[in-house]
Amino acid sequence: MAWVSVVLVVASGCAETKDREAAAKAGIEAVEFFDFTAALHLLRPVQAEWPEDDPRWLEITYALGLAAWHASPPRQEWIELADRLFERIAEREGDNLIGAMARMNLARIAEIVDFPGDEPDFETALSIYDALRTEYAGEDIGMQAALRQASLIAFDLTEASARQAIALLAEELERNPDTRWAPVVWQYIGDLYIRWLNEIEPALEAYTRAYELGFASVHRTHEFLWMMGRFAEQLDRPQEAIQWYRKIIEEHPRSVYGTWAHQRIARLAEDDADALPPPPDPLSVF
Amino acid sequence: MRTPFLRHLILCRCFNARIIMKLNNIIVFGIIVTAYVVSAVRFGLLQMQIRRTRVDRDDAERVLRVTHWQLEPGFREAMQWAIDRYNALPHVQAANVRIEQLAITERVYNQFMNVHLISGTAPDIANRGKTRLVQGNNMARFYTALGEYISDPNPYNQPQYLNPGLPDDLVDFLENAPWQDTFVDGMLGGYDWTLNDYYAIPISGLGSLRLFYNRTLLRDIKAFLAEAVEADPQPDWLRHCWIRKDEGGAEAGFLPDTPSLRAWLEHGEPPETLGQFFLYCEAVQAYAKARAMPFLVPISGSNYDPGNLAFLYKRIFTSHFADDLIEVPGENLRQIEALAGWESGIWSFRSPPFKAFLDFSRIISTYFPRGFLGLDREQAQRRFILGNAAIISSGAWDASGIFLGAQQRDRPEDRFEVIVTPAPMPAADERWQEYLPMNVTEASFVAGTPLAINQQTPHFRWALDFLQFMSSHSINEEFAQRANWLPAIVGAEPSDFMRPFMPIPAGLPPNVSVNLIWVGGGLQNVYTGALKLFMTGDIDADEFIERVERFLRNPRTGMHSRWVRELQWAQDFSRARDRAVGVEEFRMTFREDETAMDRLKSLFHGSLMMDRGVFPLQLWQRHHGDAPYPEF
Repeated sequence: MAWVSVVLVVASGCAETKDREAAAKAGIEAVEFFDFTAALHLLRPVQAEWPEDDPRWLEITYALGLAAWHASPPRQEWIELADRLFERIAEREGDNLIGAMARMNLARIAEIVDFPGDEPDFETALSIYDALRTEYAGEDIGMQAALRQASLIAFDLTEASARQAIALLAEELERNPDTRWAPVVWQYIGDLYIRWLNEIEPALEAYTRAYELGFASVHRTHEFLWMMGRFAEQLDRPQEAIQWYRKIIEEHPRSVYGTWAHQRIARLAEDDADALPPPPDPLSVF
Repeated sequence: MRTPFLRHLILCRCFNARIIMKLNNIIVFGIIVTAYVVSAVRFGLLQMQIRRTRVDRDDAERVLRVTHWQLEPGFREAMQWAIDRYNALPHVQAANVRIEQLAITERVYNQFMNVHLISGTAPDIANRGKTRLVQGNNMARFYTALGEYISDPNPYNQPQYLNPGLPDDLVDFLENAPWQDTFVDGMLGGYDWTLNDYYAIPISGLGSLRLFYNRTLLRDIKAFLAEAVEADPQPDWLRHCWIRKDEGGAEAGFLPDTPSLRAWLEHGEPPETLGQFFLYCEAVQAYAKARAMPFLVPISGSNYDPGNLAFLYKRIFTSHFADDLIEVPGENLRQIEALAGWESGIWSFRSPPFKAFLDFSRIISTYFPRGFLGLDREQAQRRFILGNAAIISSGAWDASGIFLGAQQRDRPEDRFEVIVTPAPMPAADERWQEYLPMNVTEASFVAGTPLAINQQTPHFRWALDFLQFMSSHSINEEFAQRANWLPAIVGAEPSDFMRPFMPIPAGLPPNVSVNLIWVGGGLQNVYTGALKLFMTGDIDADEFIERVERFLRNPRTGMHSRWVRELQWAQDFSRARDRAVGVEEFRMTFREDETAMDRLKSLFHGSLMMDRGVFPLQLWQRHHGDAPYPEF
């Protein structure tokens, strides 16, 4: 389909495509529309000739880097082009945010198998994440680097690696308690505890912190609340479980877990009728 | 022996034949070139004409076309009513704007939209579905993202546009709430999960699956059933309906003969429990036999999935494995989790809930017409409307057609009333009650008929304005009542006729069932094929299980292949997440779009959870310990 787009752009004979400005604009739009292959073909000739001292060079080069990285199916030639472009941006931009973003992308390209025969380079990826985490402590990009680093460490799927990842993230949160990425970090710590280590209590504590700050996936909050209620029950904390289930019923009336939450409360609150919230009126929900 | 003359003649003919062939080729080539040139010129002229007509001049009439495929009775008329109201608005008339409706049959909608989207001649507003070209990321290429327009209140929900008599708190809410929040589903029906933005405005609700009963047949057959219950001795078909253990100790029959059953027989209501439902179906068959009505069947089943009640109940039967299969509560049961559970022996096709489902589906299939898999949705509806089926199952989208059909039969004596009910659940003393505790919740109901705005429309603002008008409280309410669909807007009342289709929030979460019907690949073909053969009685349960398990155990195509594919899919998904993260970061940095931050955090967390296929790798480890992960 991306080829169709390219052919359409070329075949339609639009005068704009001959114009560098228009091609750059179309290429950047294509990136924002996830049409990376079209963007690659539009931006590649434009970027090669665009003067580096022009203010728009950075945006065009970054967009081309994304296009070359994500064009489908991935090719070695394109991945290498993405590498070169992000390296150039990182060199040129140095310590600023876009330079750091380019370095994050370089780490990610090193970490992922992008095409058949591509060898992942975990060492390079880890060293970049670690450097960014230190250099940009507390900033968005530093927290993202910390999360990627923790994820890469935990990918070993061993208990030791999971504990190392948790320790790294906990240390980051201690250093930067006010970061706006804290909900994601707490949630991921909870995920590591439950999925890697099957430790319910610390997982529930981490999810509780994430809930207090607002889960990253707001639309899934009711699902996490159901999970937290079940964990509280497993820890023999019925009052806490009831509290989570009540939130499902009262704050998420369209939750698919509403009926189950009611049933669990009814079972847990046999001695405490006040704990049972009234069932919602079906029509009022819609 | 050929003579020189003959040789000469043959040579001449061959020569002539070559010339004729060449001439033919030139003519054919000429025709193709001419046709191409004519077509290209015509295309160019049309484009120029379209561009000319699209030039926004103050005095030029701006015509916006709205396209959809909803040809169900009432929908187009209701849409036209809303369009006429919009076209009559003073500011719309002052701007010389006019909306036109273009309803296209479902059968050619895909081709129509594909051609016109590519050629740049597509309607300004279109239902975004059923168009292969706009699947995945292409949605953004052809339709406009609407996320930035949905945070402000809908101007057509201002008090002067609202119907009088609405409660004050509703008026206050509609006036001040973001447009998005005025939808019953928070506009999720217009959201694109791949692109993380809203690409359409849903204008109606599709409603949930319900059973439609022919009231005339219900009355007659319940009277027939009541007589049979009172008879002494009772007929064989009825005695087989009473719940009992058969000679092998297995459960047989459907329900006990109780006072509540006798009470139900005295009034005209449809079955209230699953046991009564099966009893009623058996009574329909006996009635058809007794009255020599060979075409009358209990249920108008077909190859249309909503018409197959076995699939509806299957989700409940197979939800019983969820606690053992889902590792983290609150998550959906993934197909690979279900299959890994089968592989590890957590459940099997002979587990009591699955065995009960097989029994259930075999019995219920006997109530469908013979050869039901060869019947389509329309044939099933026709059978019900002609009075040759006592029940049909479908959604609200078919309600108008069914109701009108039943009331517009040629002979008045053939017309009948239709009763609509949810699918019944078994009472405590009835068969399958331990496997069917409650229905599946309809709480996650999503509004439908998502109308998207063509990227190439020169009248974007007017298109958006029209969609705001269509989704305003008063217009959407009356539109839905006229169309006999469900409204999409909070507080809008459906017609009395549609109330039975309002979603019922109580019930099981929908995604905790073992569902192999959409599992994909060869397994899907084998599973659904064998299941259908089992339902039609062509193979027995053992043969069904044997066929599916043989496929799953095949070292080349079975579970080994599923694991390999799952990891590949998860890794591809991980790359897709990286793309979305990259684009959101780009928007946030170069567009200074701070709203991208929330989306970015959500995507980033999702990326961590699925990174490089970590989920199937962990699942494998859990089920197979240190054994190496399967490879091609």
